[in-house]
Amino acid sequence: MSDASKNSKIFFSLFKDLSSIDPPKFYFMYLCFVLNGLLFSFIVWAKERVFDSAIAFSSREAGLYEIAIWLSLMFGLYLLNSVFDALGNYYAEVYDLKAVRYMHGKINEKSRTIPAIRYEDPEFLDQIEKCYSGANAGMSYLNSVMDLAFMYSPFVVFMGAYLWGKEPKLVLIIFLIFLPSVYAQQVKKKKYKELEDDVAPLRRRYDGLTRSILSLSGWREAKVCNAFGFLRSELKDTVLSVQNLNNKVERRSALYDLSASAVNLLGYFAVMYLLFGEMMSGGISVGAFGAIIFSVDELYSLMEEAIVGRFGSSSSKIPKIQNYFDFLQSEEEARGERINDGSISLQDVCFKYPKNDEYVLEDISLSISDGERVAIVGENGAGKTTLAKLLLGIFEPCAGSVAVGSCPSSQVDYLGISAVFQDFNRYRLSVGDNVRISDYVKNAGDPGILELLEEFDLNFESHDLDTLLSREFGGIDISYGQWQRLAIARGIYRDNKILVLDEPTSAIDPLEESYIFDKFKEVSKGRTTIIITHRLSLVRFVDRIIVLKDGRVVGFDSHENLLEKSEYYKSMWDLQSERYLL
Amino acid sequence: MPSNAAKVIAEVRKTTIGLGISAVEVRHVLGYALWGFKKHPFLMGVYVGLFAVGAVMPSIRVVLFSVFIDKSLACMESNALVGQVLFQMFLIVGCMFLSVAIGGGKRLLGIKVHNEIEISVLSEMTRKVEDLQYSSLESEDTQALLQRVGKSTAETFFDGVNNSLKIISYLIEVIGFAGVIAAYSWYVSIIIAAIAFPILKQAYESGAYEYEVFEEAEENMRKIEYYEDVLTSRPYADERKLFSFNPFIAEKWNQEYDEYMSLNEEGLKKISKNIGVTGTATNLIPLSFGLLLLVPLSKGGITPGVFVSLLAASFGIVKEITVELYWSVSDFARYCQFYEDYSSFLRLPTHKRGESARVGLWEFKCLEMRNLSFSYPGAQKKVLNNLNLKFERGQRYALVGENGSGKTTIVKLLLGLYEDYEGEILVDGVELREIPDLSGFFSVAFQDFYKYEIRVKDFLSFGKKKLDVQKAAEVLSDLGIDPMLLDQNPYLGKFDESSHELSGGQWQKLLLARILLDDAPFKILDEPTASIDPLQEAKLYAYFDSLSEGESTSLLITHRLGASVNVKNILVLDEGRIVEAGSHHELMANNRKYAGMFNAQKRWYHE
Repeated sequence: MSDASKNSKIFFSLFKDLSSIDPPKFYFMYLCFVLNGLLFSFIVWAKERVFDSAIAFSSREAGLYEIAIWLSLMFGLYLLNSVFDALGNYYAEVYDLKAVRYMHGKINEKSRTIPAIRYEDPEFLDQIEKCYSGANAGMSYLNSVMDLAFMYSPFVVFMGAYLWGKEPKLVLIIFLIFLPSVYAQQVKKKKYKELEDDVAPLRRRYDGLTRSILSLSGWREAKVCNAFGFLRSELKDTVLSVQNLNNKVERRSALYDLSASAVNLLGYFAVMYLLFGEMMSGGISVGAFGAIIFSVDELYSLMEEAIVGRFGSSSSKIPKIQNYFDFLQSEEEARGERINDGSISLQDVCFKYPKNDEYVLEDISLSISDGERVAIVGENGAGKTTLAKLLLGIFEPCAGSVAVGSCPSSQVDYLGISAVFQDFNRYRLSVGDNVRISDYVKNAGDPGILELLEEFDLNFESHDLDTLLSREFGGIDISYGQWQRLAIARGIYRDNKILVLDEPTSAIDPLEESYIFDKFKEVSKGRTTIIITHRLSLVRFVDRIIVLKDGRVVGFDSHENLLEKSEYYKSMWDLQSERYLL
Repeated sequence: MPSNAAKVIAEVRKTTIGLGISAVEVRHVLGYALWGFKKHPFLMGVYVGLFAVGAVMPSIRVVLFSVFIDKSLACMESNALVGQVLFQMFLIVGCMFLSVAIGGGKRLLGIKVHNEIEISVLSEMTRKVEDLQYSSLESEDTQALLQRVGKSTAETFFDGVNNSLKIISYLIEVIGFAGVIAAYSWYVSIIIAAIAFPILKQAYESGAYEYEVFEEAEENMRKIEYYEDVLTSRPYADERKLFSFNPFIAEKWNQEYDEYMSLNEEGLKKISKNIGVTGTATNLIPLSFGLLLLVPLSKGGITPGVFVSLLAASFGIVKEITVELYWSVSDFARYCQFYEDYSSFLRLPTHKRGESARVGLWEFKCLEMRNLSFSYPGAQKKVLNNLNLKFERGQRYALVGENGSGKTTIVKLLLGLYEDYEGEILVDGVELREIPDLSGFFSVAFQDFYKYEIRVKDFLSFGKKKLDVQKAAEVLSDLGIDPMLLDQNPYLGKFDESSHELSGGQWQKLLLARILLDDAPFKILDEPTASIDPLQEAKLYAYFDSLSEGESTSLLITHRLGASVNVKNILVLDEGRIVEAGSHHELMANNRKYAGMFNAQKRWYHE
């Protein structure tokens, strides 16, 4: 698809979407701008009259009355111009805000149905970022095009007609002014897009390094390791690289603009020469001469505004807006099946992450029965967390099949499934909301939440449920251990037949941990519970253990049986338990 | 409660000089320009010069045009003057070309100015941040300040400089234009000034208010952006999918956005009214100008060329100055606020630097904490309560205790992050607070260590000294990391194809490698194996055992008692003091706190 047709497609989609937000205000806004375009034209005509009458007045050929009228008329036209400008701008600013909200809202909505695996793809993450930029630029891009079409164009057309009326050759002016700038813009557009792509990863590195110095944990570490000097020079290198890339493009861009301006000036000279000739031969009046000269000036700056300003800046926005539409069209997933029971089964499952060559999990086949308690153990990098996500139906296998509650995992609607993730989120929401978020539909009432929190040794008063857990938004901070218990409460709050716990007690000390696992024993009655851990102490708590090594299942049996049959398991067990036998 | 900007503006109003411009504002306008001059005098000089010359051009154009028109009119009478007219045309085009060249020069030079500013700001900021006091850094206010100042600092500085220069050049334009008018008719210029002044003042004041209105809405926007993050970014993807909480968060997003919109709409209404009134009123200037000029025109005091040229220019210049000035001033308030913030940042209290105590410290025999009591700034509770403990050179220690018992606090005090504690921390009798520079003495593996996305070799040595690649390769393979990583030396993390991603456990192992390769006399490991699996963990501790004997003192902090079992000196921390100390067997024999904790963990393995 050619560039032009792609751009017009974007334009029309944007137009359709954004005009639907508030049609009366939308069209009124453009009406103001159209009227302004017409007013510009009338003003030129009025100027001619003013200048002519001024010269006539000065040579006593006309009286004060005439010039006063024309001056007042011109004043009136400029006045109207100001009024429409102010009105138009007001509505435009407000509409811009509404448009941004609308487009962001669409992105939010769409993300609901994006398969979770896409978030593991760095390209996709880039796309989302560009998407938001595109959404922010959407309305201004639309405005640019509309202004070009309805404000600037009528003025140009009028000037063309006006000049043609005076002397056809003068119409050449418009082309001489117009063409070089357009060409320069096209070339610049391409260069800026390339620059954008090159600079993005460098920007991210810069942001990461900056965060590492400004954040508390990063600063502390840099201080202790005496790393500031190093980090400073890394930052400087990154900045210099970005500057280097920028410089090349900016310089070239400035050159293009300069050469375009040079051609414009030649055109200006030609105009003055032509006009002068016409005036000398009596073809146009002195007033007309003055009016045109000065209007060409305004025409020139308007065109520059239109081409360089609007058109130029909008060209960098187009790829981002394209991203926005592409994102909205990307594939969705539809999930509608409810699990029937708490069983999970995997058949010949293989899995690897997008853009990776290595398989993280290979040939996994196993079956977990309803209500069973299972542990998944193994070394780091063995694939435990990934396996958990497959069991939960968050990821789809690349080969083989996963059935959750006797439904295909890709169809499951997640009701009846819950989890406490290893990297659980700490939401900047209230205490209550941090729990409710796992099952916001449920109306368990505050006492229910308070009781649940108490069970995990988080003692709050009922008014505390509204306390914001975020220093950034003016609330409080709690310790990591408290957060972990909150996350466990969150996982349990959600009604579930299947519960997955991924390293749920890493930050919790031994006495607490004991206590929590006793709680789990209670809570997991009748539920399928899956615990991921590398601390084998928990195996006392489960029925069977899945042993993962290098992405494969090397054992799936009870603790006693595994001690007998699996050397790998036995060595792990001995190593850990030995230390407690001293 | 008045927002920050309101405070700035209130201060501004207080020190108003009669003309409606305040000393503070002048200081800020100059402040940006002066900051630039201090760092790069020649560059800034040329840059400012371009602005100044550019500002004078419109007035020159007016004069040239008026001459041009007059000459053309005269030429209609007598053809002999054609040459002169053409010459005028050349002058005008030359003048325009000069304007374009100046514009281009501004742009190209602007790039250089921007780049220089960026490097200067980077250097200034990072040096300041490095010297901050930890307690200041931790405070909420400082964090908020750093957030504000850290965002697009160089950009804002550059825009601030440009903004100041723009305002100054508008002033020059106005004065230039007034000068031209005065040259032709002094009384007209006075009358015009009298009309223009209140309008300019109005434009200026309206601009300042705009900023205040929108600052409040910024808080809403931060929440909005946070909710969008929760709805669409990676860290939240798993819970988002599983809990399907999108509508829940979207509702909050909507509520926040409603507030944001109404604040903004209110502000915009006020501002548009201002702009409308100002913009409309400014048209009075050319109108009255035109009428007034008729007087000298009829008397022959000015030529038609001058009349036409001046009138035409007046429409352009006046509109530009009032509207552009308005926008520049509204931006100006924002830059003022930013400048205030940056100045506050530079005034933050710093930790005095001193000579490295390397020579004395490194041979230390004993590090003692005596009657140590400490509570965090602003907190009542004593985290450490009359704590006493002693570290001897070359020994291995383990510090165990429940969460919240104060283990990490001890580390922070050792590292010199807090200084207002009661009691003493003595290194061979010298109080820690007296030692100006502790760098390199401690090597610490923090529990929430930072996953720097830098090259592997740099992560291991932070570029401070040459890495013994041979030894590093050994250590890495002992820890279970592919030593090939050293040869390839990729960037760590996830941001382009060539960078190398690590799992949680691998990050932790890399960190441990750094500690092991370090030659610091005192090594501290805070929960170093939280993300590491049993096989590796056991290997690791055996590895530590073999290495740590001898030169360096090591302190292991953990609540995993299986880890500390083989350490000779186990210190049990409870309620801010050491309640038990000894070897594992001794403590088990005591049958108190330690034994209780140990048995609770043991239970899971051997019931």
